[in-house]
Amino acid sequence: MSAHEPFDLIIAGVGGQGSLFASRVIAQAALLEGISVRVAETYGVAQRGGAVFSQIRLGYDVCGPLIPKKTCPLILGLEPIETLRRATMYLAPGGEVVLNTNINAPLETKMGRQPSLDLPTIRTELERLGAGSIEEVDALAVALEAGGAATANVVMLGVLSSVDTFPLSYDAVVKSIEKTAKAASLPNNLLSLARGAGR
Amino acid sequence: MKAGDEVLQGRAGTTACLLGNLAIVRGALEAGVQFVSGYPGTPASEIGDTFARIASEADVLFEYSVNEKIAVEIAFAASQAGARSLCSMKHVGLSYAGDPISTIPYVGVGGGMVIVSAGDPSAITSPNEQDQRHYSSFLFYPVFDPATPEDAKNMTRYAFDFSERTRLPVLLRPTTRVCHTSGMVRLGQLPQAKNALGFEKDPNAYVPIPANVQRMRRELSARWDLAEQLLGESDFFSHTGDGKHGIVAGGVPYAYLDQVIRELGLESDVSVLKVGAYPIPESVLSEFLASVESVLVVEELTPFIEDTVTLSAYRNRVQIPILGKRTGHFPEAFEYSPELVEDAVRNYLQLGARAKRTLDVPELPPRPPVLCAGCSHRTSFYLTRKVFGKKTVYCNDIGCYTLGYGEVLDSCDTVLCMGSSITQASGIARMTGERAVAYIGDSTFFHSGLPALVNAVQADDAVTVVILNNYVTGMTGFQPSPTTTPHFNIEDAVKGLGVHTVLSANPFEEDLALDVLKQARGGTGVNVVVFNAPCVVNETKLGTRMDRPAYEVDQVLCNECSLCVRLIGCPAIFIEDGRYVIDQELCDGCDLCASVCNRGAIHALAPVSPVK
Repeated sequence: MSAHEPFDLIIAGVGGQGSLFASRVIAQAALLEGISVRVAETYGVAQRGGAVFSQIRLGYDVCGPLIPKKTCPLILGLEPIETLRRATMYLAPGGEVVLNTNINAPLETKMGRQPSLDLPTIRTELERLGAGSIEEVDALAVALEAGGAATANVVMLGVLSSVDTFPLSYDAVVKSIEKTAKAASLPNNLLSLARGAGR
Repeated sequence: MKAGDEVLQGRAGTTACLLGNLAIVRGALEAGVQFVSGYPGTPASEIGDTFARIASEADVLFEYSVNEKIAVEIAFAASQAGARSLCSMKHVGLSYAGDPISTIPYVGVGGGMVIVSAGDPSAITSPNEQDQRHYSSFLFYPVFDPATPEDAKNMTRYAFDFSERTRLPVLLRPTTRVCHTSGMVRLGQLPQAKNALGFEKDPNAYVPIPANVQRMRRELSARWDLAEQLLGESDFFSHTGDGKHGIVAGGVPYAYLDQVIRELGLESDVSVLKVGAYPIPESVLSEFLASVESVLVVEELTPFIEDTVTLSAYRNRVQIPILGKRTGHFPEAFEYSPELVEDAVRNYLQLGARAKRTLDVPELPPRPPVLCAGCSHRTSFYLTRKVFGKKTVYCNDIGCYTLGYGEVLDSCDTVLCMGSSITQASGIARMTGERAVAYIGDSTFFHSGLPALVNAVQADDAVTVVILNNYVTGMTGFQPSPTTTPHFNIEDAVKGLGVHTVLSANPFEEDLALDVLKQARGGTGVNVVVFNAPCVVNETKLGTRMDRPAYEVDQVLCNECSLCVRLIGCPAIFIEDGRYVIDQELCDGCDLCASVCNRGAIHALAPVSPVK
């Protein structure tokens, strides 16, 4: 189905942040662009505020559902600690990280039983892991401006669609959101996407 | 269009990106499925959820059954009445249905019958990993083993007709990485006509009394042979490539293998047999074995293909190396990864190791799932432990409330399987002479807690069964439970089972809840405490949630004693620069933190109505 160069992408976040929605939007956008897509998700027990991530594989004729370790060229991080968690396993040397800067600490950290991680530490770790670039976005602030905290994930999709190496076009992402989002939340979603993309 | 609506609306000939579970739904629709049942369980839940949504539009009768045994029985009955029927569950659910499934092949199906039982290598969301492929040799179930969502759709579609021709029920065994992977699926035609319905009486054919079973058993062998023959003519065993190096692969590992072979440019140098179903026809195996000089078997869980290949080689007097789990070329347990398969293939073909990519993993705080802010289970656990103390044994069960595990709530000393909390509490109380507590949710109670409670009553065990009724099957995605409907009142059901002391309370009414718990603790024999409080997440989804004010910590009164954090483990409370703070976005206003605070430092941001 596709003549495109294969491209892998990971979305990392916390259950409830909308990573499933984000990966569904990307899958539908790929379909609209005629690019084959495969997405492996975290469901079920992992959702109750647990760590979740989606492995998205674009443009392969055939492929398994899982991305080989240390080969992923781009990680979309909906939460910094989860971004680092996946980057340590999957980020290719020189890979790109697009990061929502709003830290959501795990319960054990909130309770003071695990050390907390701040953004500078996470940035340093990502650099140490060989990240080629780290783009930081305060997606919550952008989402609040666009109408509500719930669309921070869509802000991040907007940022993603403006990344040079990301193989899907902004227009395809817009069309996909029009197909995927509920009618009532569509204006907010589209505005958040545009703001994220700097439009 | 909502996610997944293309399962019904997608046009034939187009390609959709479908979640594996939705691909199974589409395959069943293309085959003209008429009846669907199931019990939710990750990773199979979206099959039932999707049918629940589209059933009337798709002209399918659907039910979430009370448990898997009943789901299988009613799907079989529908099949006996002529319908094409499907029944979905996870692997452990199929074990629960062990009694009916063992006899269905003997009696034989009418309309095609497909049981989908999702496997979970690595036990990502399960209490064990198990290999349902053994049901093929064990109980006469042809088993289909998809590698991708597309396979899952095609196999499901094929399985119904195949089931009618062999009169055998068919097992589809997708694993987590098929169920929860979205992939490209080419859609086929939805049928114009479906099976005619009706039950024709024929007790000789339908009643497996010993006089009939002898005949049924002989016929079963003939039908099994037909199944093997039909599979031999099917597309589910593809042989690609060439050369003396043979590889046999089945399920998701085939997808990894396929990619590895292409990336290494070995498409024509290696002879690959893809196994998509069981029994693997002997003709397929003997032909393959005759064409290669060695075999590497790539499969997850038990060495099922490997042993079948080894046996076939022995029968055919083929003496070649057969490598796999038994020879240490693959690990015995857990799901495979693309790297694992690549390493094994490189080793097998002596290609040299791949470039090492060292994993340098910094220490990161773990993020396990937790009970939501405002969850009634947290309050129920906290209050029960306050009354029963930390020495009491708390037997827990399968559901969100298993998250009572851990040192904060410390409310989960044992778990085994659905409904076992009551039985484990019985056994432990009988042997120790101490009253034990069982926690069980509403859906799990009706699933398999009922007979366990009867068992405890007839033995007069010293157990307190705390039923956590939140009116929904929460963990698997808010499927209905019997108490979602107006037909059931747990208190009446429990009284009807012979329990004399049945106490009930809203756990958020603390004084009343503590009072019933004290009565239960001081009682004799079996008593039951029913804690009724709707799931807060489901209430929000349904729009029935009452607005409750969030809470805050008065920083002047707070003496940083940490009780609110140490005792209840709520995700909305955290420590920031040494101060105790409540996240007002997350806080659901359940009041538990305020009630554990000795200093009265936690209070609602607005007046609270007396009862939630």
